[in-house]
Amino acid sequence: MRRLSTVLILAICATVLWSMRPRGVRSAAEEISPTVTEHQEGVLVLDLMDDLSPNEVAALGSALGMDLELSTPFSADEGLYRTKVPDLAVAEKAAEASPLVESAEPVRQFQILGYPDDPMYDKQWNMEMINAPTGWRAGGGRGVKVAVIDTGVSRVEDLQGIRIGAGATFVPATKTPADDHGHGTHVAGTIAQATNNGLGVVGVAPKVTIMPYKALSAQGFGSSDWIAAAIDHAVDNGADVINLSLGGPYSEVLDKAAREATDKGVVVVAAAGNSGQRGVGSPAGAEDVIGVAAVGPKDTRAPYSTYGKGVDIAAPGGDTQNHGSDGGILQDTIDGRGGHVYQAFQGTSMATPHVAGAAAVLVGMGLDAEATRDTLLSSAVDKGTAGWDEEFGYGRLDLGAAVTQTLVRRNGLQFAVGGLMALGLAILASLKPSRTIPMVGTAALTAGGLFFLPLLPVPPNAVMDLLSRDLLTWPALLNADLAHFPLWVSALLPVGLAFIFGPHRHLGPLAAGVAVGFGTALLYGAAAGTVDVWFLGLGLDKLWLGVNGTLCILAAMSVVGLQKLNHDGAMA
Amino acid sequence: MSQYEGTLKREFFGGEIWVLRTKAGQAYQLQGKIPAVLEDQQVKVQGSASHAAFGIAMVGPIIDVEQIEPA
Repeated sequence: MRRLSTVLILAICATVLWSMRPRGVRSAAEEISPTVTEHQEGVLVLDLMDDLSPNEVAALGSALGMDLELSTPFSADEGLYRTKVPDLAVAEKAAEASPLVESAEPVRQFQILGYPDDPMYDKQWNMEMINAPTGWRAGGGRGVKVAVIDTGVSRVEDLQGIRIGAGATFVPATKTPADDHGHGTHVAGTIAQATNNGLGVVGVAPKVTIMPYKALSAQGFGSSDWIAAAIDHAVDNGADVINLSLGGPYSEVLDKAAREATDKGVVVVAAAGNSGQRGVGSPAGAEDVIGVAAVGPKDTRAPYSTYGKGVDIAAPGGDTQNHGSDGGILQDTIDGRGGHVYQAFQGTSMATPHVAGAAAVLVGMGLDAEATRDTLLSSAVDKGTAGWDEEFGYGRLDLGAAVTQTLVRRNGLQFAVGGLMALGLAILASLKPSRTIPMVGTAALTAGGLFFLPLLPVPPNAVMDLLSRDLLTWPALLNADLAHFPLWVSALLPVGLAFIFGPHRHLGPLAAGVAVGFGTALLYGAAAGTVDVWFLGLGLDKLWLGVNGTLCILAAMSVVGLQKLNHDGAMA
Repeated sequence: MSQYEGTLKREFFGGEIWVLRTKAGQAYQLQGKIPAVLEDQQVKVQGSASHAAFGIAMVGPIIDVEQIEPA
């Protein structure tokens, strides 16, 4: 048994290490460059005292022998400068010795092991602001369908390779949901742009399937019934998330369609508006729709962003009025002449797909719509007055924090509880360590997976995504809805395994571990309300999860009893 | 048909749009043929609320412009 456990552990370690290998040599320069570093060699960032004049900065640079340049075009107020140095340690010490330097440290490299390799990624301040890389490592929305209801979506150069499913058009005199404006393709790019493809820019959730719906004309206008029809169609065709980078006056038709979508377990995200005044209209103002305000590159409210009741969260929408194109949200879109162009747009239209992409990542991790909404809002970086306020809602989107919160509070807790519950059972039955250790390990891994993997600074990949999940959410890798299929979120698999392998000397403890782990995840789903079960509502899903979770634990107890009786008991 | 008066502005929200900003602080998005030479000028607009009242710009009510001239 010890040999089997050792082989199992070695196999898992080897798989994890293999999954973390650097991939895809893109250029000769990259091939010979050092890759295993989180800190960029030779670049130091200095936080200077805030009130220094340009002359004082220049004099300081001369004194330190450093060529100081602003970290970003927006860093002057914060006094953030960067410089290339031959020896980081020496330069850091010298800089920190100056009374004009508040702190100095090597630049934290946002790119990890050369990932992503999209050449314009360094212009996407918005992705760093929301900590998008953590979302990529947590599945990037794999198995999730996101409907983009807009001016249509066209597969421009940088959208090659992403999944674009069937859609529809609701605009008279158009036959396909192809984009004839540019707005919808830009929005779809922020959600799902092909990432690490050596081209252009990145997206928040590049593994999703985009469902393109055209409900706005080539001029960017549409009526409430076109949009409502598109929402209904998207819901009927399995959308998990709906992005509405559009808005207008109050409309009962539109708000009703949005409410019906949220009632059916779809996350609906909508733009708050660009009036710069108080008063959020439809559909952002509808109940349970996530209304999105915008922040600019300095993480302050964008001047055009509509505020008031109905704003739930803020996200990067850009501010080209005050910061030029560097302050906009950059994406690939159509150029109107049959080609494509990378353009920086601004607006709550641009903020909304950041939230939709983030929602897709969480849905892909197995959260239902309500838990996704709660997690996004509770993990947001609080801005403005404490708690909810009119300008930022509950704060600015932080996908990294949302993923971490889900991994730690759900998977981490399940890992610990599953392991402890299995240990308790083993102690109660006085099982030998050779059976206890594999049972506890299997229970913990089944309940929580190697949940910490997405938090490691490594490039995302499918193997890591699989291993970091609890067993209950594995089917979500194929299709987010499968993780809520009643026969899967039941005791069927664990009881079946217990029945078949329970009496076996070596496989029995593993089957018991699976039963405890799976049961733990089901019971957590019942208690926290994070798992919707198909066909069941009105609290029946919690009852289903609770009963099946309990059956799993009972199955594990039976196996432990058998193990004691057949093996440990006989040897005692 | 209604009449509106304000400053004609060219703004950018997911593309170029024409906006009429009134002295009272109300903004209207204008749809139709807008002469670029009137940009930043005080203008009088005759038009009506658009049937397609929803859109990507979201700056304010959408007006189908019948006539636009300097104020």
